[in-house]
Amino acid sequence: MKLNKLFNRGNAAGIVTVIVLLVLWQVIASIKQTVYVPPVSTIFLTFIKEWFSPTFGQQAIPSLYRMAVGYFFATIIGVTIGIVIGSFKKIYHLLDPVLQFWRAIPATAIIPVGILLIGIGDQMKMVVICFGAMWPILINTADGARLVPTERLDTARIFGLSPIETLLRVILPSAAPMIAAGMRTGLSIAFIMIVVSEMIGSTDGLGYYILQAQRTFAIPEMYGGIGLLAILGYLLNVMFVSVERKVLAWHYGQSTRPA
Amino acid sequence: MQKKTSPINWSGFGFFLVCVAFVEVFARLGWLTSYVPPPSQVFVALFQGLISGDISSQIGVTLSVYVRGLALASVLSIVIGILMGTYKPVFDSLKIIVEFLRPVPSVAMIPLAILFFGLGATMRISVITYAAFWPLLINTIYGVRAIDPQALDVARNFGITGYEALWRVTLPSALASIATGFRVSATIALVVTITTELIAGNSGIGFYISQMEQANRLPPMYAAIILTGILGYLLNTLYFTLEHKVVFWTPAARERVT
Amino acid sequence: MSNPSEILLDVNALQKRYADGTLAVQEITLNVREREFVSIVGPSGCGKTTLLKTICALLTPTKGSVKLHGTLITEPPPQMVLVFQDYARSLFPWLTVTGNVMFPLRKRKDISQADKEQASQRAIEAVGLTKFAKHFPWQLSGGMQQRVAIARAVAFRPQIMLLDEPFASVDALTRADLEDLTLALRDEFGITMLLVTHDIDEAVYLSDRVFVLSTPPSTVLEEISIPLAQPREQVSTRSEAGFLQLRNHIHGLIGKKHDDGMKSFILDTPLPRAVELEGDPVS
Repeated sequence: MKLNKLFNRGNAAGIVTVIVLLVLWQVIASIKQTVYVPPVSTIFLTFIKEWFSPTFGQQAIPSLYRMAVGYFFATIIGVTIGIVIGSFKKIYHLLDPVLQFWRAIPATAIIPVGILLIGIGDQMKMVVICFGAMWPILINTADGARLVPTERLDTARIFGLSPIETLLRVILPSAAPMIAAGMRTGLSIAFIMIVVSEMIGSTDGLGYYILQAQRTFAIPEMYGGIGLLAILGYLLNVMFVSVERKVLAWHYGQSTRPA
Repeated sequence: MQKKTSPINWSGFGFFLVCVAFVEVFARLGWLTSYVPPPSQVFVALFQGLISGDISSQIGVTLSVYVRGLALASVLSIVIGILMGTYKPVFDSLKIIVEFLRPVPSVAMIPLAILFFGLGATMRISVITYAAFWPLLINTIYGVRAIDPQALDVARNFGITGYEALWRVTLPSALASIATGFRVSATIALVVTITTELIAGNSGIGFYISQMEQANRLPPMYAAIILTGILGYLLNTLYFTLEHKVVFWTPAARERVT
Repeated sequence: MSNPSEILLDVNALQKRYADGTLAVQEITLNVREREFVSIVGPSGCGKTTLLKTICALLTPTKGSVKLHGTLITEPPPQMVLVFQDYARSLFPWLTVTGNVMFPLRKRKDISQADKEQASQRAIEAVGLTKFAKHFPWQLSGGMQQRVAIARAVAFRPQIMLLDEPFASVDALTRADLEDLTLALRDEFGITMLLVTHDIDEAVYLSDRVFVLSTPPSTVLEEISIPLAQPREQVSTRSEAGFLQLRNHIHGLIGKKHDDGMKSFILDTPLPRAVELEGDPVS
């Protein structure tokens, strides 16, 4: 069904362009042999050879696993802290400069600190991923919690809901669309963080693989690795969006955004 | 009906200083790992580094690479963005490439860049350009497409077509979107600059951080890390101000206000 | 109308001053009897919403007291419910109509799930939205959304319902329907109603008594009995002679206070000054 949409007229031009470029690449690379730009066919074959083999389990799975764990904790921590500071103005004001300070530091710059404190291993990467992905989630959750219409909060009070119930049953669902947006940004950051952390301090993983391939002049493998990263990034995004559409179906049905 | 809050967040800053004080005390008591020095030492190292030129020279290098990468990305993305936004054939042809290249993290391109350019400024500039290109491209396309078609018709009525129409009608209307895209791109560009220096640089603040980490000279390392935060914050404020100035007088924003 | 029924809500010398010093409500004393329909009318900005929120204990009064059945209220009591003017902001967009209406019952552990479903069904039926029970609020029109809010309030089984300009955001035709709906709910479920509105005609049409407020900081200018025929009917009631007299009287009251020269938007008819009520048209 999706494939059908893919081949409609508008996309035809796009697909043709891609094919033309690939063909050009192949032709030029085959004629002008250079180690820097192998022919598409070589890359493609290497890709198949590498990634439909144990290498996938050795390199790709660890990356995905670390990313999943880091992202999971980023969500938990980000949403929890975000809801709290979003719901209580006083706490928000108190913590604001501290949060702004930590948020301003690029997450990748924290990696050397992570290496010193935790070493080179899975934990360091998970912590660093968590730190990086946490911020957009936290900020967006706080904003979402702050923007819950007072009428809804009043309604919860009128119906006798306890503060915890109000948090879970009114604030959290109200903020859900903004939390989802934060989580989407957080996911791309988590993806970047895993690659970077594996390039700086690691002995396995996709980031390490690509960098190592370049160092050892295994060029087709390098291209293949980059290609895999592209595919994984695309798939992660697609998966996220489809889950989001399902969970937030009530939100996307509205033509106007709620206040 | 709103309570008047003072524009300066005294309680917040107070809390911040209290936290720093705690870290200072704990560090000096040896309660924290030796890898976390007292903040006072970091502050001193920052000061010294700036004055002596150790850190300040690196700032210059980083900013130079940053500006060049951002400038190149801006020119490319705005030009291609306008083309893609205005001419459907161009859009259709390039759409799929954009959709597939966009989610690739720029850091994944680092090994590729090293392959072509070695270690040095050019390598870093290429990666920065790649990273900063996409948000601005998307926003430019969006801004151009969102133009009221009537505006172009009116322009044609007055004999303004082609290149001049582009310059005098399309571009100003799309400006709000472009300004926002620029801010996002610029923010990403800074992070990517430092990241690239961290991973494979031979100069710049990121390189300095990694050097200090390897030499186990912790106060300068932390100083440099904090500096990146400060730099990011300052640039971000600058971009927000610029964006605000631009958005303020664009026709789209004025429509919304009235 | 002839039986003096018990006083349900007793508001005594209520004052509300905000933290920044603004005096929204200066001194309001009013009461509502069981099964009565009482309206509060006043010019825009006279703190009507603040008043309702303070009565409901969402805000704490600066002075004075609110008593329900003789007991002082400090927290929103379970016998009281408030329907907001902005239904879009008070309904929950992630729940269906049924979900929204059942929401207030979730706290009640003494009622079985089956009973809860029945209660919500009944409330939805009462407001005429049975066909839309599985819809989401944003799929419904403004008037229908307000009905959902009302159904939700009804499902809570309150003794008294406070309504804050509930029909201000809907068109005139829908408003007439909703007005009659509120009367019907009062009759069917025995809920006492306290309605705040800037629409004088509406207040006179619906109520047994009307309290007229002054400009801010507000006080009660007058308490007026509305002895018009029951049951109320849109056309016949509004054409009664007594209806016109009462409404003009209230217009005059509110108009008098505008001596800064500013005409309120409700002063659309020329005012017969100092109109006196001519006894009870219907006894």
